[in-house]
Amino acid sequence: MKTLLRNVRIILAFFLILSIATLIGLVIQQRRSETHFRAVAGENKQILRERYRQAGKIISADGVILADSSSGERKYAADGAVAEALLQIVGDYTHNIVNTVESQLQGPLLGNRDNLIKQLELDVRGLGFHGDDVLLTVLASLSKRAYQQLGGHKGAVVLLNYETGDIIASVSSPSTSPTNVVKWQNIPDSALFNRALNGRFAPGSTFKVITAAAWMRSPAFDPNLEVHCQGDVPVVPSGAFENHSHANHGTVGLGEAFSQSCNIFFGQVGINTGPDLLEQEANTFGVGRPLGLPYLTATQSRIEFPRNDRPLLSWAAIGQPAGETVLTMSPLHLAMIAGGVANDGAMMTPHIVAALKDPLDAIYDRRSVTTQFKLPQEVVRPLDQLMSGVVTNGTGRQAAVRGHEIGGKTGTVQMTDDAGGETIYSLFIGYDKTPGYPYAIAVVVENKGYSAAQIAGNILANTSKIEP
Amino acid sequence: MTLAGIAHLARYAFAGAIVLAAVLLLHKSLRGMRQKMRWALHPVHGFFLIESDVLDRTQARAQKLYHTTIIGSSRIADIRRKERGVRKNHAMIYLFNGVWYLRPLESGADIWLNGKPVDKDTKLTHSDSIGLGTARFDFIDDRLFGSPILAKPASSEESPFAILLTLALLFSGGVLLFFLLRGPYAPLRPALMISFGGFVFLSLLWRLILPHVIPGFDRILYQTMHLLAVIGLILQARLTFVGRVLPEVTDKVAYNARIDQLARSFYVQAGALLLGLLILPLVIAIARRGRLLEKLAYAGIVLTPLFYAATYVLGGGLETHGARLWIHLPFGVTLQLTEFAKILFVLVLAYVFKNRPTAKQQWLFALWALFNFGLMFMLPDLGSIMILLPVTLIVFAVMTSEFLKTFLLLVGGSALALVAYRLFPYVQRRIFGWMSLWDEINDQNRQIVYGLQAVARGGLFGVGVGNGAPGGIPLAASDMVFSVLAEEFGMLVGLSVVVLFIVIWLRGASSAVIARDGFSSSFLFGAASIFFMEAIIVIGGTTGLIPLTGVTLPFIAQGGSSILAKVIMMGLLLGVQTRTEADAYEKVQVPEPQPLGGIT
Ligand SMILES: [Zn+2]
Repeated sequence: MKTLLRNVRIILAFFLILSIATLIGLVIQQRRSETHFRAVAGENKQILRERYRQAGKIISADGVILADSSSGERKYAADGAVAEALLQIVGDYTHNIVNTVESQLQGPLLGNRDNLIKQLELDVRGLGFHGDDVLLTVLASLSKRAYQQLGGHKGAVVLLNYETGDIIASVSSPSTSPTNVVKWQNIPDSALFNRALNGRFAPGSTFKVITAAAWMRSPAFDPNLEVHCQGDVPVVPSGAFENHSHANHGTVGLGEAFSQSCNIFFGQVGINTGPDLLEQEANTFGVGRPLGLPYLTATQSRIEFPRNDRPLLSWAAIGQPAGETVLTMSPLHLAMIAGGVANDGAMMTPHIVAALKDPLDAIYDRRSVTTQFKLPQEVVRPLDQLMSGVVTNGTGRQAAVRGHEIGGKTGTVQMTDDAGGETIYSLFIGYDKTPGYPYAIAVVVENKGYSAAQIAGNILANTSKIEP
Repeated sequence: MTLAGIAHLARYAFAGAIVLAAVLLLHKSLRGMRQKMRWALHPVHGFFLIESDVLDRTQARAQKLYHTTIIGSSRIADIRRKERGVRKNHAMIYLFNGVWYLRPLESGADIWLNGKPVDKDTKLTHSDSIGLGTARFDFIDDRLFGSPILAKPASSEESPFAILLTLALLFSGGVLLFFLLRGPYAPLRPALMISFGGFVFLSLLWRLILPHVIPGFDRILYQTMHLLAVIGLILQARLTFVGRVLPEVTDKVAYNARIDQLARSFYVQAGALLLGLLILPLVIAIARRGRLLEKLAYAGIVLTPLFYAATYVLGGGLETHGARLWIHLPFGVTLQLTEFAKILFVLVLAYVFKNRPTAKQQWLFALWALFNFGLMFMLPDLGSIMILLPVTLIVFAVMTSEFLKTFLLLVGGSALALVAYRLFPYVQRRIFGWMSLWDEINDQNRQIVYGLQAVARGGLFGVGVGNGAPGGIPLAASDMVFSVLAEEFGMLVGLSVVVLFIVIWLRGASSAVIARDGFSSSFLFGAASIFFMEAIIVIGGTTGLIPLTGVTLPFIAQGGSSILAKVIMMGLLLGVQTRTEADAYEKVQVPEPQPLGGIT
């Protein structure tokens, strides 16, 4: 009998361990699922439809309702053009698009709250089952204008407030209506892809901002350097030449070379500066580092320059990766760089969610204004001057806005697009330094008679003054 | 306030009630376990051994007997003698079918009975003289000298507050469901009320009557089943009725047909539970009658493989995890024989291991079990294997103390599992689905991912009855019911359900310890372990802790056969628990007490 008792004790201990392991395991699996399965491709559409019947609203900064369930069905912006413009930001309740407010803020929208006391208060008032509202920083009106500017061609626009980091507009074209996405029909190729946040573009000549900064801070810097540009004659054999403009710039110094976007000059500058310092400077500008956008995923920019290959390095320095070179940047990051130059070197952390609002109309999780990257002071003023020159008398004149102090940099780049074909993209990054108009912009558009600088100018001309 | 809002508020009350009840029951059963462990060291009454090798007979000590008594020099021998020639585990004296037997435990151990050497199980009668090495004992049947005072088992605990909580849960859940069935759903209300009413009536009736009619009735165990059944009833009513798609009311024929269909499917579920409850006293009575169950176990030796074979030949219908376990009978009745086969398996298991079986018996049983496992594999019914294999090992280890062998069997089992993995594509698919759970969603794990999403949505307190979205989880009512439970009642209730199954095991194990015959002991162990393993395996499977097998959560999951089988098993457990010492022995003709010289 003592033997039996001993055996029972052994099994009892075994079962207790098993039970405790199960209990702990359950809690872990629940926690893990909360973060892991928030939005997964191929999620159960039927469940999602049921769930979003009680979800909160998504509201733009100018008060336009972008998503709403008060009718018992999830509905998107009444203005079709607004809905299309913000499709990849707002998303769809079926989660056919990943990395959207609908999917990434599913928890608050559906009313999953961590604060149990708050939840109890809401429950007692009968509101516990209602989701919270998400207030965005984007303006529906400007987003719509930006989207229409792209004319249905492949491209993206990011407009942000460089003093606060608020994203005012973030559009990606082509797009389609949320109804099509939910029903999974008539979706244009790559319309569900958010080029603004996740596009991986070669920056082209807009990268000369970073090349210039790297050079100015390097031992090789010579303020009086002049290079003779003969257009199609490469800077070094099979190195950079004026592959897009075929312009013959003659003998140019830094100011002229920047405003005219001379590839020969900056190819030489890149070779003089060297890959290490170029990569290091790009890193200071946030390349290869997280951009810090809360809730949504913004793709990191990447850089990997050739070490012992001067021709390839001269191409890399003008933002045109070739061979083994890796250089990709997102429109969001490009806009942040322009904003950093205008904002005295402070690249602010970007935000797309301004705040959350619970069913009792209490605002919480308000976005905070913080600096994401700090640019070296000694390059900020020179870069500002160079970029102003581009718009006043350089390649970016189309971005000029009457009565505004606009600065910027143009770019053109040939890229393999998603379909495998070669596409030429026109790029523009810029900012408005007029007091009360703290806007930075990045435009990337397929070059089919479209100029990114022109689009940027059209958008910047329609911004409104922000009273301090 | 909307109904959804009320349900959302009520979830606090539901979670609170279930958690509190589970904790109360756990507390009582842990205390009960401790008490019974202590009480277990009380010996059998009416029988003992007297050390007859002591020269001065007045100094001779009486040695207590247990239903399985080990004599030897080992530290954990019940009777410890260190004389020359006494082996560690020398001999065993055990009660079998009401008769005492003596069995040598180690080959070559030197044992004598009335001067003759003993090499196999030998019956003992009053005043037999037993010699072990140089030690001598006399076997005394004290009942010949008057009715012995039988020790009463510790009085059965109960927790009145837990009953109140259970009833409050049943009532408020019923009211909430009643109001959720609005508008076109209103015609479903009678089905709800009749089922709930019937359940309340029967469960309360037995709760009031049985403890008075059956001495030693385990009220804690009954209450645990009651609470689980209440949770299951609310959940199944919700899954069957709330939010189901109905045709337009104007389309009278289709609408009425749909209402009838939904009502009928709930009647099947509740009906099986009520049928189980109805026959519960009968089952308990059968289990109490000493030998009857053991005869059933005989039948089980043939019936268990027959049930599996029948399922293999006749099985069909709805496919859960590649297994077709339903047998279609006339009149639209479907039966899951495998659920009942589990009961028979445990009976056979208990029968074989009631006293340490000899090596030959163990081999025969191993062959029989292997044959059954093979049949389960053919079905395939992996769930049954995953439950019965550990339960077999547990009973084997406890009843024979062969922990080394158990370990080796475990290793062998794992090797077999590997072979199975290589041979059977469906096992590979299952394992792959589980392994890839956190990397991708595929056809093999979609169900678990959807289930886990529901679990995540539920949080601590759940989203409230009727507020969840079980519609898209495949097999939400049966295999995946725990996900729905976690979504609508919350993780706290999910954990409490695990605790309730721990309570069932503790109750079974603690009565196994004080049982006065080996069959009761091993049966209580086996049956209690079945409930526990089944719960752990299905809960672990639906939450991705282990690969998913088609097992149903006892008392909660959908399935008439399952719930009926589980109530019957619970009845057997409740019945065997109440077997008393008196039931364990063969009746003897007790002579008129007469004074005897020497012993007064
Ligand atoms: Zn040039």
